Amino acid sequence: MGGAGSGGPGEPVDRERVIAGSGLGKCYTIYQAPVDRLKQSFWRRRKVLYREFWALREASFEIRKGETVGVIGSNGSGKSTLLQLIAGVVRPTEGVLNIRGRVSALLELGAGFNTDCTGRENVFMNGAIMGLSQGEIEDRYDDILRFADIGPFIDQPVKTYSSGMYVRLAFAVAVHVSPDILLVDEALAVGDLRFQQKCIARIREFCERGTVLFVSHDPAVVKELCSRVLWVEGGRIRGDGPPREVVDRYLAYVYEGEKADAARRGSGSPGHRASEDILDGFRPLEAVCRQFGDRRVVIEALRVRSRGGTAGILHSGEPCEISLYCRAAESVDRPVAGFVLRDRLGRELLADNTALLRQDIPPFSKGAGYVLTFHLDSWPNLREDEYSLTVAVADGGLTDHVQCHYVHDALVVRSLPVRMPGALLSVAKTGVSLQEVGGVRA
Amino acid sequence: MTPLGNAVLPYANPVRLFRHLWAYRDIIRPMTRREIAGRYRGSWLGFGWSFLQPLLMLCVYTFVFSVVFEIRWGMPGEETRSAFAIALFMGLISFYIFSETVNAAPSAVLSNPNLVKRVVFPLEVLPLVRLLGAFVQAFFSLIILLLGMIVVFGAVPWTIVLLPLVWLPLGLFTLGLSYFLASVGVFIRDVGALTSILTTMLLFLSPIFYPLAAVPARFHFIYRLNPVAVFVEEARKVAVWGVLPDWIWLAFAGLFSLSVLIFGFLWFMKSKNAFADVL
Repeated sequence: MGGAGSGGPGEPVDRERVIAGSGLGKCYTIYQAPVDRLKQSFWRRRKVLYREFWALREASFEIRKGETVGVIGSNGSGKSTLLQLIAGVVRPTEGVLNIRGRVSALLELGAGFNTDCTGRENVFMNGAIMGLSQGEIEDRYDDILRFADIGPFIDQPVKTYSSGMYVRLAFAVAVHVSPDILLVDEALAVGDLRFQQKCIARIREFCERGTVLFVSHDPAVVKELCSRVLWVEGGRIRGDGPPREVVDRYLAYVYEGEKADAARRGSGSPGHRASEDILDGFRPLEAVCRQFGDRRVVIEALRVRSRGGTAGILHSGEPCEISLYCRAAESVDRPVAGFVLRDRLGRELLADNTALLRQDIPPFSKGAGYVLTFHLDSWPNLREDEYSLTVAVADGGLTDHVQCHYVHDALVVRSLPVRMPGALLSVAKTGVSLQEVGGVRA
Repeated sequence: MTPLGNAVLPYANPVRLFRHLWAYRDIIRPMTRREIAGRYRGSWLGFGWSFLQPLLMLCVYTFVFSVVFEIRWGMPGEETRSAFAIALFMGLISFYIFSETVNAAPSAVLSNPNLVKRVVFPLEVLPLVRLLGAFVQAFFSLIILLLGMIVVFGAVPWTIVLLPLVWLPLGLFTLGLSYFLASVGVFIRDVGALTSILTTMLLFLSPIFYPLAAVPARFHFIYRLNPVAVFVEEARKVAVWGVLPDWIWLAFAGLFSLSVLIFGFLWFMKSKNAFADVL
């Protein structure tokens, strides 16, 4: 797939290209000993003393002035390498990269600071590294100081700063050098809430005028801020297009795996399923999950989905299913099954089991396999995020039972809200009415 | 903004080379200031150490070499201990410019992986900052020396104004060597240890604690091959003995140092793309 296929022939060419990469690749060479690198330059290509690791390959794309482009991808997919290439920190091993204008990177905030120097000195040094003259920095100095808001600490060595102050100063410098292209990593989510808001506001403001590349793990933010999304996976650009389309493909890939993306790309309709097999969409449990129990019944796979939707993604307000695929190694007389949904902080948000539901399950017979499904009427309106699902099968009653198989954080699911919840959760379908009940009598 | 590609050959033109470094003066200036202030930062005596440290070392060296070993410079007339100390001190000042910079060079890049891998930073300023720091230190020591000469000799030879002409090639030579060591030090970590041994050996193999005349003639070739020895001797000539330098030698030394600098700088610039591979 040609990544740069966004510009059709009929598109007006009034917006100039500011970043153009073609066939970009970055290979990290791993040497046993540093001296091998020196030897290699004498051997040239005749003898190879290194192992290769391609962090990015065959990346072709172009970005026009004024675009806000999101970059998504799993950990280690190569998205940071892409930004480092554009920032000029890393040189491409192959391919051509053309950049027009000054690039300011909010990637490793404060990495260029000299910790022994004071904040003031670092502002001037950093500005000089970015290519500003002494006078230009002096003009902006007050703005930078006001933005960083670190008070008299500006004349202290930056090694005495708290991590928050450090990053605030670095951010302030990076956004005040009037870059043409701003590279932002979500890692900037540091400092207190007030400062974060200030950063986001500043980036939004910049999006109006300049070109922004924005790396994030958070699809919600990408969809909101960006006009276009690049999806990098396994060192290649897998998707390039409108945010909703690319983000959905990315999510399907993350939660359903490779097959789903291929299917989605092929058919184009997300709800399409070739064979409605009862075991379709199940994810086998990973061995790394913390688990215990006597294993008379073993939970082998899980599936969580909204009706007709992608496995692993739950839409608020929609009916959904949580299914456990279990196999009974021994017969179990009084099976009980349950689940707990936790958020990132480990808070239990939602839990239920068949005993609480007063739904008795018939005994499991030895050697048989079962699919046990909880049908939830309407998925709560949770904040868009990832949640973990803990599942268990036990033998006994509510108060006296033996765990057969209890799996912590067996599956990670993503919840998509219909709207922003006011707190942890809200009810998806909430109406508001107003009735006038007459004036107040004096 | 920064030149991409491996086109380093233009820097073989010294004008291009110096203009390149001059462009980074806004980075070099604060870093040098910090380099000097950072040495004794937080200590009670602070900047006083810049004066005290060389003075104390001078006392020890004078005691050992003048009193214990009874070395003489062979000055005309009566040679006092303080005169010996002044000649010794001048040698040390010149030598320290060389040794402080060169000793720091192998770790100049190695100790700053952040600047190599995380930001776009002109790494070529790092060895230069060390050299400038060493020169500032030498300048302070020189002030003590001048005071000492006024007290001991009652005068300072006018030829001392020629000292920059000797120190300049010393600086170029030192910088060129530092560029080479800073680069090689990244790939071969033993360079740091080796360098400090070699500079200590050079300290004793240069005419610092004794006059060149005290060395048997058949060993003189060693001193002629040791560039530092020559610089030390010439600097002492103009600053202490009041003798004019050997102009032909000076021109030759200048050319030699410049070529060392160009070689070191080209090596550094050519190899700096590979730093990130091994840091």
